[in-house]
Amino acid sequence: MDEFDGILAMLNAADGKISGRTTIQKLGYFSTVRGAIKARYRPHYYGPYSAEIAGAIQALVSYGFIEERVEIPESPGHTSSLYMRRYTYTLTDDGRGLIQKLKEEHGPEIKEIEDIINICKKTANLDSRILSWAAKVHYIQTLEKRDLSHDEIQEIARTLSWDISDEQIRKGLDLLGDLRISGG
Amino acid sequence: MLTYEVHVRDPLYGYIGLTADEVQLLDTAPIQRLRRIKQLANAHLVYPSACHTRFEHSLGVLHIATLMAEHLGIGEDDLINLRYAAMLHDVGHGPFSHVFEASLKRINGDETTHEDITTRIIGEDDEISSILGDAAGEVAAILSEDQNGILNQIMSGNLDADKIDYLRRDSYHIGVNYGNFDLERILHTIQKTEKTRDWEPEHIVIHEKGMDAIESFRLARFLMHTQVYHHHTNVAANRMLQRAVEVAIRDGIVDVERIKLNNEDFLEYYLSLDDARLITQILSEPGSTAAELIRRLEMRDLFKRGYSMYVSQEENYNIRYYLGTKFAAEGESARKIEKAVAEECGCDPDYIIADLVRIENSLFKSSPVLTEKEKFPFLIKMRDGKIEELEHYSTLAYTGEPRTIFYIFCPKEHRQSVQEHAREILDRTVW
Repeated sequence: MDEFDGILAMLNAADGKISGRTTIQKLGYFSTVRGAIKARYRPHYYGPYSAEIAGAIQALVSYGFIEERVEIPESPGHTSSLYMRRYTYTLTDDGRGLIQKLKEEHGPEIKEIEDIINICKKTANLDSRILSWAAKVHYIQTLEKRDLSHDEIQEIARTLSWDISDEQIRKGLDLLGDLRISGG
Repeated sequence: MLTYEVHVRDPLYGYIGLTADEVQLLDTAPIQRLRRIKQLANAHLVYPSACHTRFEHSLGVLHIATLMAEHLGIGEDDLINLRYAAMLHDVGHGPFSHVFEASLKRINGDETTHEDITTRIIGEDDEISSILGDAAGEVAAILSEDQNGILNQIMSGNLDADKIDYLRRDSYHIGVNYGNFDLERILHTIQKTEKTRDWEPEHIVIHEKGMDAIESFRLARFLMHTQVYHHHTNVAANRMLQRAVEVAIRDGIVDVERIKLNNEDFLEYYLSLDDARLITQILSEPGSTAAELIRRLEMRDLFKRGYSMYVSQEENYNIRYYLGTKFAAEGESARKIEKAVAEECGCDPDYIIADLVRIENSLFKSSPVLTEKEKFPFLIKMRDGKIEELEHYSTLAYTGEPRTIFYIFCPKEHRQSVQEHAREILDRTVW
């Protein structure tokens, strides 16, 4: 599936609503790793990031298939930073209208995405931080193509401007285990 | 301190100085070829004075890259390589710039870009590699899409020497003011992020006081896209040319094997092509459809908009989704629509062109969606030292619908017929 179909499928699997751009990015990352979506990921502030996924979200909002709500902090311009903004995406009626056709065309991929979302809900409650830790660990393992010690992961993470603690690596690895994906 | 042997006159910047080595590089055949490739392909059919070439643009990029490097405190060794990279950044362009690139992509895969060919030329052209010597690898790395150091950002980013030059140069030669912005203010406020640790990547940022200058740059970029690059007549003329190339390849007038990247003679053939030579080659079969399309271009007998619509305003959500996210010009979906329209109108399908114009510009996107794929957003250094994304402070953020326009172009004699049938054809051919 392309990134547009993938985002609609992810939202549908999450009961029509996902909070946080980081969450949607990382769910897209796991879906890409498991072969359900085709997208390119590169290292960015909060872990692997896909410009295609980000662009597709914006396009789907613009075309009326998903709705974006932004929670803006009280004093923008002074205390605001990208850490504090929260974006929530919901499928619109037109977006829901496309789902049946997507299921007919991409049944196996949609099942795969449903499985990923269910696991991320169960293990991490779709918490963007845990998803990010898992995605970072996986991305780093993929770079080296082997299982790495926590120290090695932290050392490579620093070269990508990521700070990740021992505990975060452990939680990330737990989620990766549940998702049955390994970069090593 | 670089010593300039030659000074070249430029209408935007006055004199541009070149070192002895740079003069040698400028005189190589691949760079001289850029004199014969127009910067804006067929835009001269809309704006008659748009006849400037990739050659003077490349010199302009060298000049701007140097100014940016000076303001960012780049050392002399890096500057030398950066200037080589600037001179060479467009050397991989084919005839009519992006028009020919579309056929290259279709034949060699979507990932193929003129940048890939630039890298090959730097590595494989004897003249260029002998002048660059050991610097060839570093110059290629500066132009690599896979790296994101400061020198890469000067050459290719949201605020790079390429865009800074072409927006102003295109405006100058076309005779419009849309592409102008406050270059001096941008240069005055451009900075590097300060590294607190060795492993931190560096980014180009603009000091908060230069934020409005960046806004004027973004607006200039947006307006040049709407008023020039995506002007419907310019789009029609370039798509006619692209169709002529596609048909010429299909009908064997242009040998497809020679455009394949894995052909051992590819580079030699590619570097022999320029705007005029490609046209001559297509016209070598005077009775062909491809030659007829070129004849129409030469007489400015351009295809007209038989049908056009803003995709976001389409009520049928299946059509809106399909056109907005799946349609590809010259792809299978376009062919299906073109064939159906041609049948209905009694016209040769080669003369029907379905196209989609997306105005990719940050005014339509919120950051961290990037203005270009893989490019980082505009970063602003606030007075307190914090780095923020421009979007959080911009007064220009656009919240309306995207400007994605679907067109069916056709010869003027079929315009009415296309107008009558297009809607019904879309309803039955799309998804």
